[in-house]
Amino acid sequence: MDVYGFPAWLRVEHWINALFITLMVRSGIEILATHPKLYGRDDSRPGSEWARFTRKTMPKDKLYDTLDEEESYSPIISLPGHRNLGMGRHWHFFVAIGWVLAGVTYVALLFATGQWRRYIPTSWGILPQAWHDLLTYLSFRLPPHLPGEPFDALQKLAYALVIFVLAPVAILSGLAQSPAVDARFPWFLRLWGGRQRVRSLHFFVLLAFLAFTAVHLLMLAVWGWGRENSLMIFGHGDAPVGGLWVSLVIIAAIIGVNIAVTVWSLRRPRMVQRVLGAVVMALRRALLRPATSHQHYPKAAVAAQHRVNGKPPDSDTYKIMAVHDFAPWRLTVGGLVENPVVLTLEDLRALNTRQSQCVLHHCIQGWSSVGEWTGLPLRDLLDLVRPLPEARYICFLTMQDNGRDEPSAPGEGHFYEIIDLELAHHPQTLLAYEMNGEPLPIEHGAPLRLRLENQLGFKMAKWIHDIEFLSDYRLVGDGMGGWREDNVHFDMEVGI
Amino acid sequence: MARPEVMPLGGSQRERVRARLRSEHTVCRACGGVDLVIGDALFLGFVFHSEPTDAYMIGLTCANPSCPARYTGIRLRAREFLDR
Ligand SMILES: [Zn+2]
Repeated sequence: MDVYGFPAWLRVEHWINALFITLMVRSGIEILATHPKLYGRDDSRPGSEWARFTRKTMPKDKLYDTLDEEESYSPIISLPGHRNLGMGRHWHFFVAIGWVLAGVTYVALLFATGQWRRYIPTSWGILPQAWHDLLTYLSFRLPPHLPGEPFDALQKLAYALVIFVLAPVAILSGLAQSPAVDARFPWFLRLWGGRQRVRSLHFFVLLAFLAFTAVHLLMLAVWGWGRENSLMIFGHGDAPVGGLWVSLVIIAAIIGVNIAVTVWSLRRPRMVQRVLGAVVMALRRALLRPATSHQHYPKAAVAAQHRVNGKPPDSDTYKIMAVHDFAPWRLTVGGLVENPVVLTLEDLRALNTRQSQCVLHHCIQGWSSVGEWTGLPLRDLLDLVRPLPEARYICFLTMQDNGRDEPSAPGEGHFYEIIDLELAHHPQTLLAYEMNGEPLPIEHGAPLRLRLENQLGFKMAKWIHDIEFLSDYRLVGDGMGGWREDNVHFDMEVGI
Repeated sequence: MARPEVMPLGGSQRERVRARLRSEHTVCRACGGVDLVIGDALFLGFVFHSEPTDAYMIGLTCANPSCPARYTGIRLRAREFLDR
């Protein structure tokens, strides 16, 4: 006699979890598609990947960027598919919030009701029993359940591992990929062996969930699909026919939700961005924004080759500026400020503050690199121009025209990104004009780029020529807070 | 600090650029001045996707101090100014 049973809350949690896992896996694969390579080292050096999920080869005689390396996967395996990192991220984080809340509730109820005993063994004797059960399965027979329990020893151990090891590792290895968390707590990232190792581990978590699901479904079939589903649907095993039919309805509903959110994301991405973004961004602002970067990587960690995302301005004006070492370049700083200025590169260098920081760069695509950046702390520029009280945002306008310069990016117009004024006061928010001890290279944003060490790379505008202080970010472009937000539906607040 | 991407020209390379400017009657686009100082070269072929793989930009500076746009340049292929 099973003393634990299948109480209603446990059954509801099970099916919610099943839905969430399908959405997490598919949106996770979408995120993987944007940089379908896995590395062991944090420089993500081209060619050093230990796994690749793409057949693309890159040119040797032309600069390519990581947008050229992106893959487009089918919506059958990824949410929403067709190269939609922005949508994939919204779903991954939105569902993650729900999944974590459901998981915390589930574990709390397990302990509150004493149901934890169904999963957590209280004796080492379970290990030889589980081994014996495995041998029994391998000889195509079914092992006995533990006395008074719903599972055999091997099942019990498998569930305990998924609930109390795999799920926490999934959450923590996801968090360890947050630039805000890693910038504030570099030791936490070191605990996992680095940014690319934890990304690889997160991928193994995905494989583990897929493997668990496959074995779980197989075992249901072996033990009796109808009876097992009757237990998980009605709370008793006495209605196998009903269990069979209702389980098929539930599976159809899970597939239906997946299809619906996929179609919604592909047809109305702006709406998905606004609706899911409202939830996700609020939580990110509250939890991750307070994380201030305190990174001091050793110079030995600097990557020999730092990948790029985005191609430089392909205009004669820019090329002539570059050949003259940017002597003709001017930085205009204006908008809602008391003291608008126009500065040359020499002026910027001559401003008395000069700050260097050796930090880990996190691209939204998942690759990383360590570089040393030198320039003017943004807060010192604020001291110079004195923002008016109504100024709340800073817009960085660049010389990059995406329609002209970036064949691998959908959308037209000049690249810009907007941050809120509060971020400008972070100690490692920098206008960089040098990289690794040399003038900022053209492909990395010469002559001036932004560094925001607790955010993802795309916010750090390159090839800047104009900085405007604004009261509202919605006044610019499509009003979403930047070129990538407008055109590829990225989120504006990117602490993860 | 010198920008590593910018390559200083040698005497013979400079001469070839000068000959080219003369043969094409190149003048300053801003003021029409003929006195253009030849500067450094920037390799365009790798970083800029629209450029042929052997393209360079040669920096030119108008010597007229009252010129409104002194900084300009001329685009050349490697064989047009580099030593063989
Ligand atoms: Zn002139």
